[in-house]
Amino acid sequence: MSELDADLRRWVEAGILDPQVAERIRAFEAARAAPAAARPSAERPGVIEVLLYLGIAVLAVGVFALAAQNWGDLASPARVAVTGVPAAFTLLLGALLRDRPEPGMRRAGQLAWAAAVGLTALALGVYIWEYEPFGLARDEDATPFLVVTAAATGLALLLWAVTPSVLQLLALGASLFFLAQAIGQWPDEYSASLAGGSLAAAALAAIALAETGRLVPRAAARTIFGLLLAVGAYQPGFSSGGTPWEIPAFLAAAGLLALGVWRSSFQYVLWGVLLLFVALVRAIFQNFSDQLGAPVALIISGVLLIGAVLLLARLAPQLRRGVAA
Amino acid sequence: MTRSDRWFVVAVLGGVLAVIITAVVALGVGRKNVSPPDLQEQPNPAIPGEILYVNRDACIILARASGESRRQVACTGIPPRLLFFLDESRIAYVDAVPSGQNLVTLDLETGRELSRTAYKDDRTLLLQSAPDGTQAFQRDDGRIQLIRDGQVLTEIKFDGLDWGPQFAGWSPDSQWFAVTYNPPRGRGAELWLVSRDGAVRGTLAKDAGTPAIAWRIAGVGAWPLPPE
Repeated sequence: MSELDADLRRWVEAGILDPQVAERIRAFEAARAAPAAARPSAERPGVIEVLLYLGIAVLAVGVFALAAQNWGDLASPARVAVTGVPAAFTLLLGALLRDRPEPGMRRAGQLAWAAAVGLTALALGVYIWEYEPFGLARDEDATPFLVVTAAATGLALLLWAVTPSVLQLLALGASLFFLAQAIGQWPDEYSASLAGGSLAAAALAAIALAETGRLVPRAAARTIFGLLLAVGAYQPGFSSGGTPWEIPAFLAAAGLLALGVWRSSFQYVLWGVLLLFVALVRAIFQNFSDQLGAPVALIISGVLLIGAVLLLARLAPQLRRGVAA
Repeated sequence: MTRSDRWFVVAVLGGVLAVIITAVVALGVGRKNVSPPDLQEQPNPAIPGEILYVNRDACIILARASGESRRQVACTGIPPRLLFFLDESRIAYVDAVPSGQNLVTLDLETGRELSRTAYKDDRTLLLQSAPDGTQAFQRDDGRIQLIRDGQVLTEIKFDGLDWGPQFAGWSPDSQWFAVTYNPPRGRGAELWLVSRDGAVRGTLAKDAGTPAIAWRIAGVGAWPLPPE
């Protein structure tokens, strides 16, 4: 007998609840629980599937290691082919598998497309290095890096539009991160504020799209772009920027916490709390460790950590209830 | 989620990124051009004589110091460390190979190698000295001080550089000197010509290799002096 059944029986016996109402509650809760219980096991990856992916990854690493060992002996067309053929293969494989009825096959297709984003970036980088097309000089590292990462991001975005899955979001998030670093690399001297600002702006746009229900799966979008917003806001102040650039990290942390409570999202709250904790500790060590000394700074950091954990523990049940509702 | 929702996401995210990239690239955010005017585009007849320099492909180039013209003399494979005008028709360079240094003489017109002998002299420090005895000293913040008889005659500043230029050599009339500057982002080293008072400057080459130059002015002579 479930806990709900026991409660309902007790309330009926006490005369608080009519038996008909109790029956309707039972039926409602059973219907709510049914989809999860009836979910076929194929919706989740099995051990064999995971081992298969592991084997493919090991095989791919071996092939690339072999190519890397003989890189010096390869002519330019061979170098482009070594990277371009796997990129084309994974793109084709993803396209072939995406409409298959078996969930495992569909997942394999999504994984192939996620890998295709990285492989295409690699192939494009090798092509630019070998042939220097359109005046893209290999010695001038900023422009090729920007072109490669922008192309990878565009491809990741298009693949997500065709198959909106968690893996395509992961590929989009990873390529966005590298694109932001390429933007930061554009000035004569690497600009952490430009890289972080670009990353935060893109993440904010993605979060807005996730919260309006357009960027899906929403849980994965919240996790990935909440993290990217935190990283982007943190980067300017704590890489090289100094005091004024520390403020965006605290604003982003407050924004993520507020958004998390408002939208009942544990992911936003988690990233907000972590960002607040890390930024506070870094700010204390960066600005006040000379005056306070390391032990006091550590004590303050410990208090902040305890506060962060308590805040998470307090908010987590409310957020879970909010998500369930 | 409809198909139009997906393309809306693509348009919004792509648009945001396109705006950021276009703004950064078009505005040249964080990029500064510290180079003097390009003498190839705007020759300056006030800069006299001819210069030998080495480009990034280890080729010796003969250029009018004004920037009006230039031609390749020969490619050496190993970048020369020192360059000399020997006479009207011959030049020489010093290369450094593992077995030792060689002084190689070339025909200026054809680039043909005329002779190759072992070279044991070391003139690297002497290149800082002008024919009139003025010494060029590089300071940490990119300044170059011109000193004679223990007195600082002039201080040449190079503003806006992340790191200072490297002194390359003097003109035979002691009125000009050359420096090489390595711009950020892996762009090719530049060869700048600077008047002694720092007032006139020009970029002679944007593909310089080693900071080795030789300078000659008709009726004045050549610098550095060739080895005996």
